[in-house]
Amino acid sequence: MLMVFLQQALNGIILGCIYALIALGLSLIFGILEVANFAHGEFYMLGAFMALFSMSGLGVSFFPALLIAMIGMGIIGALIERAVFRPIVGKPLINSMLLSFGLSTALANLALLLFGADPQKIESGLADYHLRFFGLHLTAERLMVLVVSVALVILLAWFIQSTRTGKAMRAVSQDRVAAQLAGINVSRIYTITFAISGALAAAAGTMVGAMFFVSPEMGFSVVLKCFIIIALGGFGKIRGVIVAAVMIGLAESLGGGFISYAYKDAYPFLLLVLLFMLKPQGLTGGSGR
Amino acid sequence: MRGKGILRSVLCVAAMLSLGCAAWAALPDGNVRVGVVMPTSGTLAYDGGLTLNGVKMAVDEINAAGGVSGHKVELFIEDSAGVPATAVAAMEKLVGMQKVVAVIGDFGSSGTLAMMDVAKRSQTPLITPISLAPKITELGNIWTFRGCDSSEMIAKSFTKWAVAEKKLDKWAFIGVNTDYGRGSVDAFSKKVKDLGGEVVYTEYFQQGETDYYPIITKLKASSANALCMLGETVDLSRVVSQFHEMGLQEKITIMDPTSGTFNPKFLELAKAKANGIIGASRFVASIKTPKAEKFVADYQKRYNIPPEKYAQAGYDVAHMVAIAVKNADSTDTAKVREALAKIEYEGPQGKAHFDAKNQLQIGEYIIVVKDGKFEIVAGPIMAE
Repeated sequence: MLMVFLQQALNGIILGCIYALIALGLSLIFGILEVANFAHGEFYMLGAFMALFSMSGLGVSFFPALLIAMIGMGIIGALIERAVFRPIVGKPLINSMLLSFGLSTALANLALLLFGADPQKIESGLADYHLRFFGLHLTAERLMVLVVSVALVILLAWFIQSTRTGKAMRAVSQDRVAAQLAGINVSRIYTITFAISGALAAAAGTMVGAMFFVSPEMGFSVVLKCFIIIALGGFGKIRGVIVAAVMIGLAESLGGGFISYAYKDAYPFLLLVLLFMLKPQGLTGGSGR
Repeated sequence: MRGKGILRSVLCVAAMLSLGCAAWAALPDGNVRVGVVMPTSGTLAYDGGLTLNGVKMAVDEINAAGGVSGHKVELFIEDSAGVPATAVAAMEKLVGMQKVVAVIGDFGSSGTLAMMDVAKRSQTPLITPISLAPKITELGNIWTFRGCDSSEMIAKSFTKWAVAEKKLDKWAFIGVNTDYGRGSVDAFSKKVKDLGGEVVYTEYFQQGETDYYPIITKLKASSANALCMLGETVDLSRVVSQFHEMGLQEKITIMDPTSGTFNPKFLELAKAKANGIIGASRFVASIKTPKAEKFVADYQKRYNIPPEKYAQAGYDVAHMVAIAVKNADSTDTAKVREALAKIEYEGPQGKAHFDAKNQLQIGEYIIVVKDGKFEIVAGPIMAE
């Protein structure tokens, strides 16, 4: 029984790492531009397709494809920010919600039109290597997901904490006007934020495409889950979001394993309701402002 | 003189009447309009597309051979998206606006069950080529036909072989959380227990689910020696690949008795992991009868993939509807229904007819996947 519990927990943590990558980007956009990006799931979906096509079209192996997808989605993310989101920064939240919802539907259907509804698999070539330790079971592919996502999260945290651009991003998220007065090019920060978020989503999409599948509809359910995560973890907070993402992963995995798998999509929402009842100030407390 | 005149007019009227009668009995001018409701978007899009392939091929064959008594068959295809509410709206549109003589559909049992009420109210025959939930033919709705086996029939035939002959007696179920999944798990559990077997684990998943590790982890800790999967191509390919990732293939035999996975897409997604899956199917491309061989060759030529039971069912059901319209010699839906109930059909699968509950009577082949091929190991086994 203990082994089953530990195995379920390990599965949940890996799932949580993927959620963290997507939710962090979403949270950055929300914290810095103050827009809600419902099209973020489609960034993740397009990233996965980009990796898939670089492998089938260019014949590259998995890791270069991951890199191509991240760079490609970084560029597309920046372009979308410039063309779509820039005009509505500073407007009420409902504008960005409606706009990004429309963008999400448009991108998902465009993908359906161009790539078809058939799900496809990214072959990382790692799924057939099995690791066993202390009775736990892990494929090399899942280990890779764990390592890559932890590395990316650490890289992001370092970037935001220590680099000049990262500091500028934090400044903009604290006070846009003051940052502008201090000589920070706010528009440039917006573009960089979208590029980083797009790249992180693409990395998550590529890894999910290897573990599961790539399909045009893969983005939608994920983006809702990530909004729960950033609501739990606190908008714009890196550590809170990571903790919340792992919690949601664990809730799905343990709830699905020990209560009932058929209702596993309900557990994250139950967790959110519970949190709002017991700790309305959020997981990490305080508004942060 | 006078008498002659009366006689003449009586003859005249009689002649006109008989002409008129003939005109009423025969098919009216224009095409024979047949409705189809299938998922062409959503997670069932691939599977629904296979059935549609079969339907379209059958209709082209019928039209190329001169149609139904000289009238072309015209298809009106609507998307159910695998959603019962959408399926009902599609059915309403077909009977209300397109005035079709019969509707072929839906794919999922939940959709078919939802459409059955519309069939009854509008008095239009509804024939499902795919839906397996036993309930569909148990509700006493005379307007609904099942042009394939039910999960109960499959359960009887398959458990006879698996439990009684192969001694696979500790079953675990992973089923999709729909009428088809739940109905099938109930039907199979009962038969397994009747034959002295045991059900050690049962779990359901939502359609389109990606992560099955929670289930597979529990399965690993159970005492099962056989895993029975009930679902569709894409979902089950994930179950199978995660099953292998957890290294369960030496301990547990995978069974797919409703053969949701026995198609080329599954082989493409699961690759070598498909090997060893045991299932039952009313049809596989390797059946050697003249009708089956011709069907397989024509289908392969047209679509560049071998047919499986979803395409076969679409093909057979479309032919059945055309034959029923021809036998009824009318587009009156009540007459088409009667003709359909009495049909004696022979297709790629074999000879078939409907019983008193409008359930098609056919046998099952036991099939195993070996090196990307579907090999028949036993059958056909009849349910009774």
